[in-house]
Amino acid sequence: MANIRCPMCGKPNPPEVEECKYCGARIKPMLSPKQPDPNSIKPGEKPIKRDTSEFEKVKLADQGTIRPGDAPTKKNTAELEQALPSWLRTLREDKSAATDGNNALEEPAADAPEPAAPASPGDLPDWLSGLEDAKSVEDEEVPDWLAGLRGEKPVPATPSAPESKGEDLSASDWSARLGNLSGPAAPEPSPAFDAPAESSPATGEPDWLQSLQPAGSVAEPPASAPSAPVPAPSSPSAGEDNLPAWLSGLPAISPDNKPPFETPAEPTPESQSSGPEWLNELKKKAEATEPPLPAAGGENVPDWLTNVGSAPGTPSSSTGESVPEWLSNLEAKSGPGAGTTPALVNTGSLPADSPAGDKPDWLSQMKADVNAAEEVEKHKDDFEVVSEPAAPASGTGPLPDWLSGIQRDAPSSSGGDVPALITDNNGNPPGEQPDTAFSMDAPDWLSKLKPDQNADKPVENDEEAPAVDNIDASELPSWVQAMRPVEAVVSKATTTPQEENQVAEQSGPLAGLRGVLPAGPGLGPLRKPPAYTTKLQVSDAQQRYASFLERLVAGESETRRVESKRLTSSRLWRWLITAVLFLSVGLPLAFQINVVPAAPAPSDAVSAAADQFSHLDSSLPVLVAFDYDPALSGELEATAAPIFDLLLSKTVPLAVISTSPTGPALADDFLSGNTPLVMDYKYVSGQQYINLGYLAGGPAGISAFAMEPKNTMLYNGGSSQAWSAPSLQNVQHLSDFAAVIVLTDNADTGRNWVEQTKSYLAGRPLIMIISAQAEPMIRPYFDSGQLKGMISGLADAKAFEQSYTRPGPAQYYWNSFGIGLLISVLLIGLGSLWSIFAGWRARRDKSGGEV
Amino acid sequence: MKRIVQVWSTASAIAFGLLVLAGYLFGHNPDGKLSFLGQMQVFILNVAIVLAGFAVLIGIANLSLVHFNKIRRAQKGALYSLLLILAMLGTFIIGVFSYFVPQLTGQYFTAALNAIILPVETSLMAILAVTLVYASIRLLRRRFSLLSVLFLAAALIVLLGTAPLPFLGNISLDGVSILGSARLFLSNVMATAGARGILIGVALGTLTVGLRILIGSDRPYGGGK
Amino acid sequence: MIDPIFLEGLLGFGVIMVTAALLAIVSMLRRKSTPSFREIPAYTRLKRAIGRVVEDGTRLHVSLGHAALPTPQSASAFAGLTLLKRLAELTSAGDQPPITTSGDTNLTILSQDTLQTASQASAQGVYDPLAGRLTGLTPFSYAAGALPVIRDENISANVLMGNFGVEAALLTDAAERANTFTLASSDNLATQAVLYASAQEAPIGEELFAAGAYVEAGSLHTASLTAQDILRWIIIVIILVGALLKLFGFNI
Repeated sequence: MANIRCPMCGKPNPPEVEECKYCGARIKPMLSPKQPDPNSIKPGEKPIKRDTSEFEKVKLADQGTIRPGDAPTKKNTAELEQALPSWLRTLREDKSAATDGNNALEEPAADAPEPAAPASPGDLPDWLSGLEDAKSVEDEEVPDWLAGLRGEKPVPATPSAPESKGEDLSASDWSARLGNLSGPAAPEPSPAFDAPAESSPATGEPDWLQSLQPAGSVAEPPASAPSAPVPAPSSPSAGEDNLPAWLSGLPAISPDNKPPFETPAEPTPESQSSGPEWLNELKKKAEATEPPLPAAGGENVPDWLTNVGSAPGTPSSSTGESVPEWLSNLEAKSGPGAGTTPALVNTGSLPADSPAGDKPDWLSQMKADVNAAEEVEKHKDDFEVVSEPAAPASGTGPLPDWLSGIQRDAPSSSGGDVPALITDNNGNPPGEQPDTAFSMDAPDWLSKLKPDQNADKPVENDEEAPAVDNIDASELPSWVQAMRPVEAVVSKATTTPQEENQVAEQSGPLAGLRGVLPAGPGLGPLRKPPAYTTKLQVSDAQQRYASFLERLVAGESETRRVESKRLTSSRLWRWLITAVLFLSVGLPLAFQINVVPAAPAPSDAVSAAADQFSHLDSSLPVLVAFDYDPALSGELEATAAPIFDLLLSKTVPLAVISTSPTGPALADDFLSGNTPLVMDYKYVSGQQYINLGYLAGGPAGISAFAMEPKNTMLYNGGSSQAWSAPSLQNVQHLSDFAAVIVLTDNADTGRNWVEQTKSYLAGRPLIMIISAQAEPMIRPYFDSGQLKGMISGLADAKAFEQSYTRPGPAQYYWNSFGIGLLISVLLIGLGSLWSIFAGWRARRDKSGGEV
Repeated sequence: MKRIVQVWSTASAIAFGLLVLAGYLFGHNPDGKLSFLGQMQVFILNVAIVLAGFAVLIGIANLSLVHFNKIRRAQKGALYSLLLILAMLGTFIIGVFSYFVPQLTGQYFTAALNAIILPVETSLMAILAVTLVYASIRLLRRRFSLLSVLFLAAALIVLLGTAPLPFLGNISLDGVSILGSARLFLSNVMATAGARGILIGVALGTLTVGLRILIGSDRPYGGGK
Repeated sequence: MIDPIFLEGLLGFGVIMVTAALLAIVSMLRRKSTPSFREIPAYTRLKRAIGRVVEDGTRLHVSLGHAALPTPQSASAFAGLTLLKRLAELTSAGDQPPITTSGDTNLTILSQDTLQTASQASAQGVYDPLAGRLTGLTPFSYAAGALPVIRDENISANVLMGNFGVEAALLTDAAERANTFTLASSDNLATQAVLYASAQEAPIGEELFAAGAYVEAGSLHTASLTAQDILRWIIIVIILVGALLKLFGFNI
């Protein structure tokens, strides 16, 4: 098996280990990535509130992203009416059909219990928003469980959040059911409900409730739903395969983790009596077993679903199965009464056998809807409210949490109370219907850039909004257009006093429908319609994040120049040092200032070298290695001049060699050039001295030359007559030279000569003339006796001159050398003191600045 | 094929390295003459010297290409690159002709040395003196520590003890130059001791590097480890 | 009577064999343990500088000195080559490959080979043969040729590792003027003193040869450090014993 590479250090690890052997980082995650924490906040989700205005939602869904700094444009939501889906358009056209069921739907649930806490249906997905629609049109006979679907807060609310693109596909089923649910309003079920209605006698499930189930698999409950009072009907052949992905992955309910549900606080006898038996029984059970507040939803429950029931004050469901509890409840606990559960609205246009995965007509006919919207507007007054037939009054027992929560939050459906069609989503938990603009891969801080769409803030009324910023209806998907805010439309209806639930809506998609919106007396019939703001509601922190992001992005595009430090002071110092050194060295040379005392007595190394030269056999040639760089020629030539003055005074023939490419030229310049003292002897190349040239190979070349000089250096600067010169004719070995003198500035080069020739010298002296910088490394060879003499630097040369020869360049440079040294010492000493002071001041300033 | 070449080159490098090492260690017979290993070492070294000479040509070609590229792209300093190439061509041509006219060699190269190489390099050395003084001044600003203070103090003592001081001469005590003695102590004892310690460390590092190269385990070039 | 020269050769051979055995043993033992080194701030800051090179899109300059391959000083050049290869790998994610300068032709060829090897592992995979340059054949001409590279090639970090003379101070000074990071180390003692005063970071002595281990160039580099430590302690003991024997009158 292949090794696992550590994500931290990148080193391979055996596949069985869980932690990296090298850095200790955990390789295998603690949790399976397929089990997301339902409580975690995903990128793009707002933690608590996701109150977005209608316009902003439209904008988000339309444009996909909201860029920081963008101000949303105002949209006239009236334009959205043109893009109403067909099922809503047909409402207007099927006015008479809707009238029949009006009474049933418009029966106010006056006895509905007051919710313990407001629900947040506004944040429900669209298919739940459809339930809101259904709730809003119910009337006195609405059952309790259906009344629970009502949102309590008729706040200026925003509709459900826009859906992401990814949800569009998976939501096709429920959107189709939504079409079914809100479609047929006639007493006779539409063909879409035929099949479920046939199986309903066994299940006792209302038609509309069956319609909530996926088409094709309507009646099949999950196997782990034993709490269902009635056995589930046989599943159609499609089975779970027809479930959308998001539904198939939902957990099934089990008896152990049967979701807690709440009962209404004060169930009325009417509602109990009006409900079917199974609902009443379940309700009693629920009353007896009021569950405590459970923990968060099960692991496999999607966030949006688990949080439906987790509105403030409501217990959240805690399922751990693969089918969501609301679905299992719906499937398994559908009681009888299918015939008494009419469709909310009769579209009559949706085929009953449309597959679950098919696109609903209202979506596919989006374009036609837009075109027909104008005509629909003309007939909107003809619409009638579809009434919901009598339903079980309080089906709290077997209802799932999300239903019970909604039921509890539902307002008392008094006639004068007109809740918003789509209420606010204050209580909408995170994770529900993630915005496309901020979903996926967005970091947390970026997710905070989402507009703070607080529904509590007043927003402009559609009718009052200027019409200049109209949205091009063709640019918006119909499902977005369908979510247009309707408070403005409803506003007129709210002004209508209690009219026995027979109020006909005058505008909007529900215009013309009677009793669609229950008008409860307790909610203030004259409530001022909320005003939607078109401004992007962002907090200060979000503004900061946005500005930070803008700066960040702008900074990336800018070419940033690396600021170089001010070198003015550095240059000034350099120029000052240069001037001082130049004057200190140049003035004594120019004016022959003699202020430096004579050099001390020669050192033992100098004395030993002088002794070797004095006893040199002048009949034998001397091998001289010019192994210094031209840059050091000033020091080396001044140091070597007195030695060569002594050497050449004995007319010693020389053989010159170099391991440096420039060495032969330097040798020629030194011996036959204008070097003081040496120039007096007029040595000529090829006669008094033989330039053997450049010896390549470093120590290897030296070793080879030491072993076999003639074979190693065959040519003399291009001539093959090198070894035929009279002075070198007898040279066969290195020991045939009278002495070996090495001029070098490099300790390594000097060491090479010592180490490579010691075996071949046979007692001949090896003497070095070196730069002062090489002395510490070369001196041990003199101390050990491998070197017979050593002259180091100008000071030794001056001592040599004083003791053995005449004054030469060493004397000439002596005063400049001494003054230059002293000035350098002063500069370094004073400068170092200044540096200490400057450094201390800088540290003090820095520490002061930090304080 | 590439793998074979790599293996072959590595094996040959190891073999010749071991031969040179053996020749260095056991290159002489007790009578002082070269042993077989010594002769092998001489032969290999001569071949290496020839190869090193060819490598100079490759290096010069590289230098020419770099500066020719600068000229072609009209980069900063292209004029200097042009001067370099012209001077290099002139030197090469004169070097070739010098084989037939040996006098030309001394004249031209001596002139080139005196007119170009020596002034330029000695000027760089002069700049280096300024640079070192400035760096010494800045040392305590950049790296203020006891080691830096000791470093500077030693440098100043050695400088002061190198030559007699102007106007003051040798500051002596009982005929012994104080600064001169301090300098000798520092350079001959302290510096030598420290240098030997450092050189031992360098030698050990050299030894291990050489061994790694020799056994082929460390070849930073040619796709080695 | 054993020939002293042969004895010397035998001693050298023994030292080499002992070192090789130490390398092998330590290398095997090191596989089972995680090495821990004392911190050398220069290499820590080098890693940061390399990170900045990649982030800034600038270039790394590695100067290998002018050690000839047949010389003992070539060991420092090989240490520089090892560091070059590792740094080239680290900067392979950057926009520009490193540039190398050297004062020896053989070293130039090897540096080009190293850059080519590293470029094969880089994302770009592009090798610029002119990135490895010979800037001069003498120390000061080499330094003079490397100065424009530091100044004009968009360099933000300089690594001088190899055999240098005092001319290295010119390079470090130019790097300081260019406001770039500089790590400089040489096996030359005089140069070490110069670099201590002029370079931002100046590893001393054998720290030069520890570069490979500190930049994780390979396990054998780590083993080499351990072997060097063992040998160093052996030498210390030999020196102390010899000094004591000498002190007590033994003629050795």
